[in-house]
Amino acid sequence: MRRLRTVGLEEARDVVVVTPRRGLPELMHRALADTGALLHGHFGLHGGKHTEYFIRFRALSRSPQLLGLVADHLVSRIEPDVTTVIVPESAGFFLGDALAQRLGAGIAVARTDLQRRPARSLYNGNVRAGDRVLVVNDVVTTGASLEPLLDLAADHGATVTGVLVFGALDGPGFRAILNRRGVPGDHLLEAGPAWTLHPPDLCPACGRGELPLLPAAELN
Amino acid sequence: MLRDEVLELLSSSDPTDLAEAARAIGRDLAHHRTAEVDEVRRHLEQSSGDAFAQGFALAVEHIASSFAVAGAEADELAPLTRAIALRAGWRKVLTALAGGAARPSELALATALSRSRISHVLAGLERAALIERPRVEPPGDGRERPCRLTPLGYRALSEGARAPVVAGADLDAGVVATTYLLAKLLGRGRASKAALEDALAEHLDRAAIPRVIDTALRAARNAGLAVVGPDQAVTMAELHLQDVVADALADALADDRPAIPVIDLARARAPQGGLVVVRSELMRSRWDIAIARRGLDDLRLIASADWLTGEVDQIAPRDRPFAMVYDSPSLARSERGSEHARALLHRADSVHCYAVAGTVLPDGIAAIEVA
Repeated sequence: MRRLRTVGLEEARDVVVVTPRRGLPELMHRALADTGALLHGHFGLHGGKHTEYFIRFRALSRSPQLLGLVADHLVSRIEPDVTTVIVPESAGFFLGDALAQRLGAGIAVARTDLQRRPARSLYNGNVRAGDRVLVVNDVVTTGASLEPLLDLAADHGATVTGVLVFGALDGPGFRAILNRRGVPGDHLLEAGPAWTLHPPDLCPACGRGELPLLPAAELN
Repeated sequence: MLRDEVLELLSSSDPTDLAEAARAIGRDLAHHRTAEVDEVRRHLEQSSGDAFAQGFALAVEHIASSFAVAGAEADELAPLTRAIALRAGWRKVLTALAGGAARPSELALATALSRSRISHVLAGLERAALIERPRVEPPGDGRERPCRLTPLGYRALSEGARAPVVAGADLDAGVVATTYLLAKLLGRGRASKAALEDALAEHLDRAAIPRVIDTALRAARNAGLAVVGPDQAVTMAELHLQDVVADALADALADDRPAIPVIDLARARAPQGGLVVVRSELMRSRWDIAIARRGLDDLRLIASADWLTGEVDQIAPRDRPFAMVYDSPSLARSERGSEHARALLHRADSVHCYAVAGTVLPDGIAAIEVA
């Protein structure tokens, strides 16, 4: 049995919800299907949950046109007064780089730990006191993994003015974390009706035992 | 320590346990228990996908087999060198042959022995395969056939001039040396040659130490495990390599550093108008970011995830020639059995691998020496 398959257009419409609902969804569903960025398999997420779908942002970002399209849509949703974009050392870099170019901001890359989670430490670039920081990543579940980046900005005396991600699988969870941290932010995609996140003990793929579990972070 | 305990320690991922296992192999198992060492080696080869453990097994095998060969040769030579030492006639004739004399008449002159004694000695040396007497054409006087030393004759003569070799002790000392070295490398990533000499002094005659150290280092180096720096320190090769590659990639991300030597070394291997495809699991995000950051359109990166998702043809399109570069010898070795990799390698114009000097790579892979 194949461990992974790419998801086609029809299925993508049920798996992924795109906001806003006018114009953009068709484009995004096509982009995911055409680049093979939406995968079906059996994945373990950072927070411990299991899922049968995964968005591989690296595949989508290989197309400069699609990356530009995503960046244009995201950049319109925040105040453009940004001096520094912080991204983790991951596929999120490509989105962060595209956004930084549009905002005329500098880019700072945070380290990732052994599990490829963003860490509270800079790998490259600078964050200075008084900087207005935009935190960017490709796909998160609730965005809890981005909290070390918010702390990192605070460590340097900078202010986080926004958080932008391409996908937040658990949209309500993402908004809750932004509210708790008091930071504005937005995303383009979240998990649709056909895409469920399961606790490991309730995961149907584990129950069937057919597909090996792949750590999602290894795929980007 | 019992073999089972050593095997259990080797299954641990804790460096302290691994170092303890290595010490146990060197200290206890090597002591006239080469069969047990063999068993440990087989266990390591079969049970572990870890590159260092495989290299460890290979190094123990190298060292054990080179000393076993040396031991067997010494055992074979020992009766001959003893005979040469005991028989003055043999010694005189062999020395004269080594000095250039060939015909019996010349040997008689050079050794001051009688012609009949010479022919008696030559018959004995020929039976012992220390000399040979090729037939001359056309056949002339048989007694005047020229003689020459065989390779074994040269060896026996030169060995006889040296101190006798104790072969069995060398094998143990060799395994001790290798495992001590590996234990140090496992624990700290570095070992000094002086500390290695001290460790061996417990087991070995001073005069034999340099030869044993050379063999141990050669084994570790051939297994891709260690590199000897100009300061005579022995460093774990892959760690050293990772440091070099990581530093170069960090430089590639910094705006104020023009030089990206590791990346340029790879790009210099690209075919005309073609690509460099880096195959990397180490710091692959960093590679990807460095490539994007510098706008290097001729560089691509393939990680394991790309085999799974089948994006390889997008990364290395079929219509462009490319050179493939592995980020480390361990990846190049471990991927030899992969069908995906074979299909890609088949399309590559050439295949290279970052390596420290002296690393032995699989056939068909050229080293890009970075240290």
